[in-house]
Amino acid sequence: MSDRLLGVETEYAISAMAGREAADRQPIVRHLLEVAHSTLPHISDLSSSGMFLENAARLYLDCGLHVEYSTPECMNPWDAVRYVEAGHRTMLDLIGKLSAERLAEVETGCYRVNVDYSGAGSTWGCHESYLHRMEPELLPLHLIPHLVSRVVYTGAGGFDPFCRGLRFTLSPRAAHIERAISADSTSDRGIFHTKDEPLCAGHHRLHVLCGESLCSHAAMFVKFGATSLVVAMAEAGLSPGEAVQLASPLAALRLVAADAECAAPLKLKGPSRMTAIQIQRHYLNLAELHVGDAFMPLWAPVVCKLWRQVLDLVEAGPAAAAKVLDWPAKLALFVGHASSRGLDWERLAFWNDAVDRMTEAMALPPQGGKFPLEQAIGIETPIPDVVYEIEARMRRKGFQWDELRQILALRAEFLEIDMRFGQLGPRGLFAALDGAGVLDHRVSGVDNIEHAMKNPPNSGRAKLRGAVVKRVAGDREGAWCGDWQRIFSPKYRRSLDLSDPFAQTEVWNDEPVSGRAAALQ
Amino acid sequence: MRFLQRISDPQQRPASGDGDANSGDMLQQLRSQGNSLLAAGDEAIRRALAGSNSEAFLRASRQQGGE
Repeated sequence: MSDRLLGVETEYAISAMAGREAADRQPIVRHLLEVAHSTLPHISDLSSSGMFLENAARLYLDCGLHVEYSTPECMNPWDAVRYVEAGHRTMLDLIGKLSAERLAEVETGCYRVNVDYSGAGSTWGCHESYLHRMEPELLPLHLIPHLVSRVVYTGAGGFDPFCRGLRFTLSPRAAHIERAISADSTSDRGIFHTKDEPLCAGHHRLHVLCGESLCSHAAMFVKFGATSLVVAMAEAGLSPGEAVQLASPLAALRLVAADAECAAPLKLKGPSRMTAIQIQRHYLNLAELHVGDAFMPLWAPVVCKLWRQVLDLVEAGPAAAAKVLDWPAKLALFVGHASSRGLDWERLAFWNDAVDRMTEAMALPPQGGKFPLEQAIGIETPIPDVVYEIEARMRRKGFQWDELRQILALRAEFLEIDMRFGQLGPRGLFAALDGAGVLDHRVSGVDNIEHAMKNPPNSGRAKLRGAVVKRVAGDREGAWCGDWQRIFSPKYRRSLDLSDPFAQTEVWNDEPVSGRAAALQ
Repeated sequence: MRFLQRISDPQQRPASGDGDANSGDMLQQLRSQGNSLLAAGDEAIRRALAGSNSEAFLRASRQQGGE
């Protein structure tokens, strides 16, 4: 059976509140990294101000002042979920230490969240990496239909960040995806990202950036497992995506993200249409057909079983999947909260369309979008034609503007609920639901998280990296540093070669000193 | 894999229609199943939002970059 290698990067949101007001986050985030440097055994990261930890993961500060944690290289989806969770626990510990130092002065929170609702138009990434050996140019054909249709179980749920109303979406990140294929990662993002930075010898790396940070172990497990199997099938020459080519991948992604029933037919190239679930079943059927083939990993049967279960659940409707997957759980919370606040969730679709229409009109000259939506529905509205048209539709339905005013007044509260869902620690909504025993998302074998915070996976180069970091982390004189492919001491001029991602034994070389390593000496 | 034990019931599938409307049906379905998720969710939200200023909270975690 074949080995697969995968890893996950998570960008964390950090909030800082002084009482009921936002505080300056910059010193908090920088101090968080200082606390990490002073409390976590590590070696320096050669390519950033971050560090490699004793569990072989990487922790660093990335663009946009966010903390990012990359799991070590994992060889199965259990480890991938386990090390994602280890990252969350590590972050939570750091926040705890930080809060203890700063007392009650500033309340700091840490979140696995995907889009910024403050109006900044930005997003937090959760990227997956899958090692492979096929021609990278052939991958989009096979991966894009999978990446679009897997949203039915990989969606984090939330609200369309560009809608000024409250439009639920299976995948808020989807609103930030602007192309089918792109090399960019901070703007103009693609469903398929062409970045191929293998960080090892003899392989390629598929870098998926359209995914989202999730709370459900089942959702994460199937996301990592199913995508690994699709890559394995493509690598084996089975052409898994050929029969399900989407006519417009971006339009299909938007449709899937908007469809809580997961029943929207997506137009394929040619005359056919298939739902996202049917496309997923196409991939799954092929994987099941080849589950015992030599190119498949040993764990393929378990992944297929869970993959099928998740698709069955989603097909049964969001209520059936609410205890298992992120977006149906969030939808349940939102619908319940709307009810408790006196909002009619079913009528939001009407108001979202009205808000879109007004936003569009307000963006045109002379308004140029420079006034609040509340003003648009006031007596002296600057867009009377549009408002009269909406009022005509409202009269037919018996709706009143006060209902929209209520929605706009509660909008920030719903957006906060979305962010709080993934908050790390007991104040997080997902954590609270999990603690109350009302969820059913756990996967047998995803355990020992505490162990994973301090120990690497038990195979591949991650095992070697973790073992060496443990040994040398206390040796300040050695000025040990590293990147994904080596660990190095400029003092001793010794280097551990980690260019083989499946390496099992330590290979040390004598090395000349150069670059940043020289500066560390 | 506890959720593997559950067999999904095709009868639970909501009638076809627009997404928001079926999401509204979700509330009734969850209630009719005596779903404990709603009660626990209400309580968790109440605690999480206690004393919160939502607008300030959203500003407090503003992302300036990100991939």
